[in-house]
Amino acid sequence: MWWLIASEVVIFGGLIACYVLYRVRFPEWAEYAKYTSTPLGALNTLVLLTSSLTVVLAHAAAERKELAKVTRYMSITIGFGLMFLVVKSIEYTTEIHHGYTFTKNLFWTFYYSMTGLHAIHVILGMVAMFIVMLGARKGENLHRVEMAGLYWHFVDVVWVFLFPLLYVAK
Amino acid sequence: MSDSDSHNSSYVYTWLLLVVLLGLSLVAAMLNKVVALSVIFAVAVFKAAIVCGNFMHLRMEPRWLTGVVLFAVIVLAIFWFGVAPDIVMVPLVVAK
Repeated sequence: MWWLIASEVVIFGGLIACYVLYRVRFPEWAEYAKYTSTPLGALNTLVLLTSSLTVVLAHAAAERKELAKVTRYMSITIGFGLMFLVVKSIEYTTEIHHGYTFTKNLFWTFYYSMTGLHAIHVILGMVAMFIVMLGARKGENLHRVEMAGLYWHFVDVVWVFLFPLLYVAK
Repeated sequence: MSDSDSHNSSYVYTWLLLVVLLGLSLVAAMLNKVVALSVIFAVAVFKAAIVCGNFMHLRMEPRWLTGVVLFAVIVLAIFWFGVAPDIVMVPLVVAK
């Protein structure tokens, strides 16, 4: 899992590094960033941080073989993932409605690429979490709870960097 | 308090710290731009370190796992210096 995470660090890191370099090269991008919603971005940060808590509690419950708690915490984590996607889709709808589409300019191309790639990872994390949960509720492959959790935490860490870059630095 | 209870409460304290840091970065955004950016990115790095160390248990894992992550960061640094000259030379019209 850690090798997978390391490869993901390079994928997201490369995108983020290019964005930062462009941001330094073109300070006027701060004007475009004013149209991203800081309150919704902050809400999504809170949602992901809380989901990281619930998934680590699921892992702790799996180590104690408390299957009901594992299922409960993993379900809550999937629920938080869903909440994140709902908030993100509200953001996307508002931005597209105002004409800030993928092709508007390079800033918005980066915005949709980075947040879109991240959202795909959230969806994949939710699917993985659901599959692991189906086994874990029967006490099968409990070690996978930790694997799914590690992946989920990584998705959280990526958002920890996307939030200040896209929503706060204006 | 049992061992599992104390583990769970340490996770809750970690989460509380992360929420406080989120609040700090939002407050910092209202400061002078240079100060704000410095604080915001320092907080982001600190938050990521807390998640990796406490939630992903990297602090308790063998050192070579930290080395795997650091290796990825070194590859990124090489990438950074590789693409920086190209981006610096991009004409202004491209970004508008």
